[in-house]
Amino acid sequence: MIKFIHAADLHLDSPFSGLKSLPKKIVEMIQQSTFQSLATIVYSAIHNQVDFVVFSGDIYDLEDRSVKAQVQFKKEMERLNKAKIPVYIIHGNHDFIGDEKLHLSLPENVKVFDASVETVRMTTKGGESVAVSGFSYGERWITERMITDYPKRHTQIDFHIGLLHGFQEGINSEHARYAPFTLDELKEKGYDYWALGHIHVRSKVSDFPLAYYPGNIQGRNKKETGEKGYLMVELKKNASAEIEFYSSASIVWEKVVVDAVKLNDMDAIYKLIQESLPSIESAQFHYLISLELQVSEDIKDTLLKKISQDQFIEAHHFFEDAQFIWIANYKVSQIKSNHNDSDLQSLFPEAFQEVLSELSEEEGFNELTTDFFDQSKFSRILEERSVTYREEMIREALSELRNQSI
Amino acid sequence: MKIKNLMIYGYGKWIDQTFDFSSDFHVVFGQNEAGKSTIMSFIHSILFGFPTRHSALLRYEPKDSSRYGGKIIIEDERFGIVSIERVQGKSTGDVTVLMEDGTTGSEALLHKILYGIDRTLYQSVFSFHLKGIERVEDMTKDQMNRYFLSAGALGTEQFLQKADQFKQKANGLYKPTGRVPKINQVLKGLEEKQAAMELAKSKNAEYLDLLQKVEGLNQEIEEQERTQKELNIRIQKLKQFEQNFEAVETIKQLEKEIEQLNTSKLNENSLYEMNTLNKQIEDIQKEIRTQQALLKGFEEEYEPTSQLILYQEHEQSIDALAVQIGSIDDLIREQQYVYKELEKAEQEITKKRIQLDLSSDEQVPTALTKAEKETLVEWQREMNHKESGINLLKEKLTTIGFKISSLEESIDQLEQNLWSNEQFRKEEDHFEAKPATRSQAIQLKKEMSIILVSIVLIISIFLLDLPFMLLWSLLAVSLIIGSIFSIWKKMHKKNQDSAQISYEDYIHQKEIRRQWRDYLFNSDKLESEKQSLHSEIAILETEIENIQSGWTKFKEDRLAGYHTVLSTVLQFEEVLSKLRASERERDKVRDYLEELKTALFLKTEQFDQVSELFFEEDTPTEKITKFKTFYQQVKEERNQLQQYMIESQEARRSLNRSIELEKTILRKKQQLLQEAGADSEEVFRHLYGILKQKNEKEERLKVLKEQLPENHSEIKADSIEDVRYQEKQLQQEVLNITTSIKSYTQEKIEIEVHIKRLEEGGEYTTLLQEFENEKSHLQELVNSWVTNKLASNIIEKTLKYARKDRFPQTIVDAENYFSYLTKGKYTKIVIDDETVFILDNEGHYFRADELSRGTAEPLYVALRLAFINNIKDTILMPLLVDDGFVNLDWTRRTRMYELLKEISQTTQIIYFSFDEQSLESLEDGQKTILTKV
Repeated sequence: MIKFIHAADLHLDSPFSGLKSLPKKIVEMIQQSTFQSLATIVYSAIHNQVDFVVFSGDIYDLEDRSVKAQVQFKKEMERLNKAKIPVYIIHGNHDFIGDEKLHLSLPENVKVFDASVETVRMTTKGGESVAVSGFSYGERWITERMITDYPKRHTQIDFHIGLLHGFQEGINSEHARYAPFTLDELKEKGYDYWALGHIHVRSKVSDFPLAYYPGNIQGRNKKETGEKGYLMVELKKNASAEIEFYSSASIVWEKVVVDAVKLNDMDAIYKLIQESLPSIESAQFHYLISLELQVSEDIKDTLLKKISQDQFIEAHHFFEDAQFIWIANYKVSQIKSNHNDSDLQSLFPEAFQEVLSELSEEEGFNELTTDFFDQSKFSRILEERSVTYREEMIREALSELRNQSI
Repeated sequence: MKIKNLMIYGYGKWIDQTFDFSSDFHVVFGQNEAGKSTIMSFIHSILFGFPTRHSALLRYEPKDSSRYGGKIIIEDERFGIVSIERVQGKSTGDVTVLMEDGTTGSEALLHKILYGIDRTLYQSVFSFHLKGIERVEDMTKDQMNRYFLSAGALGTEQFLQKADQFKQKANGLYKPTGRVPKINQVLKGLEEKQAAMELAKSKNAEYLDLLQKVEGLNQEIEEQERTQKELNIRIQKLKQFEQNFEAVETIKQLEKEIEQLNTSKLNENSLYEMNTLNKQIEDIQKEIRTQQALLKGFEEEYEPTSQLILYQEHEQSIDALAVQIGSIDDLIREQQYVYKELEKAEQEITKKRIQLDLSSDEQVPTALTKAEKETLVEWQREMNHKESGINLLKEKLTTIGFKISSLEESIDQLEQNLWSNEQFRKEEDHFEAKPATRSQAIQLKKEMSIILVSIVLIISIFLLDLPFMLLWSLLAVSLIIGSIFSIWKKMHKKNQDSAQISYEDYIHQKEIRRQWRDYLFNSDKLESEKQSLHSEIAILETEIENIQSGWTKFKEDRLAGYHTVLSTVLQFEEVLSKLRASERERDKVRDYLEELKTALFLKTEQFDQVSELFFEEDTPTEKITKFKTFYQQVKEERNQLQQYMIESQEARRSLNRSIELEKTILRKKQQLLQEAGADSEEVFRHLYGILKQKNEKEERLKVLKEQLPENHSEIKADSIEDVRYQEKQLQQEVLNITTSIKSYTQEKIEIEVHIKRLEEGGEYTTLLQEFENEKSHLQELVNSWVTNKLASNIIEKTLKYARKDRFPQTIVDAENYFSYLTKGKYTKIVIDDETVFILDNEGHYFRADELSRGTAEPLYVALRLAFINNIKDTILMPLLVDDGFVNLDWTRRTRMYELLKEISQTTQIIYFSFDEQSLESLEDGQKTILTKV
């Protein structure tokens, strides 16, 4: 039996998105959160006396890793070194290998995989031999099928583990730049476990072979909701593996939708919001809440105005030394009872459909938005105009159209 | 869809009012304030909802009635007759749709019935007035153009306005070259943030350099500190040198003085030796005094006793006596022992005499001779023999007596049964004599033998002293008794065997007779035996008497006065002989005791030489004891004396030794004095005083030298001024180094702070977070920009495509309508590059914006009606026209009504007017006349 921790997408020192005017103390806690999560993982590794730890890419948030991130990561790796726990690291698209001379060196227990597929072997405390194969990103995008370079399972060893920072083909084409692979390709290698990275949502890719995305270790925006952490993997020679998720993130993003369509007085809405938020007593984490308050379209103007004000929601912030529940995002949406189509659509259904399909195509969409996206250099740091993005924007536009009734 | 009836429960001024609009073309006539607009609003409200509070529309909640709302009955190609009722409820009112088949529905169904269009669209397309035209003068050419264009192409300009709003919003967010729009501002901010971040990033790259720099600085500082330390040591040395400058001078002086003091002859140790010797001499003299005192003590202590003096006077003879003491002691012990023996013998004799009942002084008879003893034995034997013979005979006699009495008894019995002689004889004759039995005697013999055996047994038992004597004798006695009983029984039986007088009785009698005779015979025989036994006994008794008289005579001769009998006389004699032996023994012991006494007396006579020791009456034994005590004491005293002698000799010897030692030491002292060249101890001591002075000086010199720094010789300085100058120079150097260390340290600290900051990442992390915040802000804004762009684009493009599809036919219709309205003056409408031209029958083109109001209005209406006509396949709704044609001349107005009537064949038209002309040639069902209330 071998026991190891599989974590990925640490994004150390990564900033959180969509936050403004937070108390300084919370900002500090947020800045510490990725490190804290890592520290928790390292503590768990030492405490559970695991055989080794694997990090499947994106240790750092940026290619030019921040000094703080490097110093902290090194410190944690030294703790593992002291406990004689080996660490296997691959770098991902966010922290691809550059000039290593510019980076702090890591202690000897850490093996960083090269830009081409490598295989290392080790013998655990229990005497089992383990082979670990993997590669690090040498540049931001890896379009080659690196999966084909992975060797077949070694026959002379007890366990073979693959580290891969990449994306399963066919799910979403825009990830084709990130070391694409197929399930069949994984299967073909015959490994005992695939420690995947890149996707921030925790998921089991397959049972045969075992392949997991552990998700990132700390949610950093309102889309990365729920508990975040690492996987404790126990592989056994003659029994089924045990893979268990452990939460290590101290701050949890949560989307809370409050349906107040039927309510039309402020107290009731206030109370409903209070009830919908995580309770302070039972909360295990700090929470950053993305709150959507749904109200009726017929709601009184004055009430709508009041509940739309920031002050209305400020009362729901909870912040004490040991605990915070902060509403980072607040949106009031009026739910229209019937109108599903816009007038334009009713009047010119064919033309309307044609336009929509035109705009959802890359060409039409990009042409329309070229003014910004092709002229501002900052368009690079924004979301790509992917299918999802286009669809989302069109959805938004349609809702705008509907709302713009005179 | 057509509106058939209105049933107003309460709406504005209308309470519980119904209207019938069943005809395709219906005019609602009324002056201002008659309620036309209220009816129009009622239709809008029932179909699309009551105006909400925040709507710009007028609200018509009845003032006098609590019931708000009403019902519209419509007829629809798709749904048939449908009743739409809306009453007060939620803000837009509660709708109930009742279908022909009785099913009901609400908003969703209504929405479907209304083709999914909303109030805005309906108002802008199907419910038109010409108020827009009123503003024609204010419009720009482009606006004007679009106004006409959209009327034909889109039915309304509303969409384009909407598109414009979105466009404006988008432009407000971003312009590629702008500065003011939000995104442009954010971009600028981001630019700055990025620059700051680039700076921070470059600092990140610096990090490793900084680490190295700090390392370098550390080394530099260390080096400097080392130099500084060395310099300080040198300064210290100089300072000490300066301080000790005086000492250096003193040292020189001392060295000179020491040289002058010549003490070469004097050995450093001699003084110590002298002192030691003096001490030794003192010790030894003390020792001698002690020893002498001890010796004197010994002499005083010793004085002999009177006993010793006596001893010393007769030493030889006393010693000779003492030699004999051992043998005398033996004699005394022997004497004591013998005396005890004698006492024991006396006691023995006394005991024996008491045993023999002899008094202590009674003479013991002489011993019996052998012949006498034999005679006595013979007598005893015969006596015993005869006495046992008598006993035997007496026993026989007793037996015979028994037999006789038994026989007599048997005879007596027989005689009872015995017939008289005559009778017998008679019977004898009668019966022949028969043989009689004889077995009896044999029988008895058996029993007798058993008795005999038993007797023998008893005797033998007593003689042989067998074990279980009692048991045996009991057995024998029981045998005897058993036999006797058996005999008796047989006898008895025999006696019973008679009494029958038959032949048998005769035989029996005969037998008895014969027996009787036998018994008688036996009885006689036994009597004679008895007589002979008696005589035998008498003989034996006579013989015993003879012996007895012999014995009596013997006793009187030999043992008169002693209590003894013949049978025990021998034993008595035995005891007597023992007594005689004891007395002989005692006599022997007594003699020996006397002998011993004499010997002892003789021996002790010698001791009278020391008669002082004894009293006159002392026994030899006492004398000896006293002498022994005396001798013992003397001996002890002598021993003691000897001990004293030894000890005093020892004391004298050690005294001599001490005196000897004293001499040796004094010699040594003399030698020391000679060595030092002194003739007396005083001189010697003086010399050593000088030496001490020198030593003190040397000591001081040493201390002074020690005070000086170890290697002060390194310092080359002629004067104290020179030293001070050197010191000053060095201190300057140190100062320089300190300054440089300070600046290095300062630099190092700064870099370290920098490193620390980088490691903590505060600044960079904050920047990252700020950048991220800006970024997400930008994302939001861009999303909003994209959304607005999309929205406006969707509208414009949809209209464009729609126009492409329907426009040609719409223009043809519009041309027809326009031509009709203008009585053929204008025949063609041309659209060119978004500009609307019209062609008159003379071949002149006019731009739409150049037209007079009287012409522009018909053009607009023509385009609008053409549009409505062309979308009727998609949406067919009643057209509400609000009295627009005031600017038309009579002719054109008449034609307009005609045109409307014509169009109403496909699209219901409800015309609201205060123009009476509009009522011309209408049937009753086609008009509703409102009068002011």
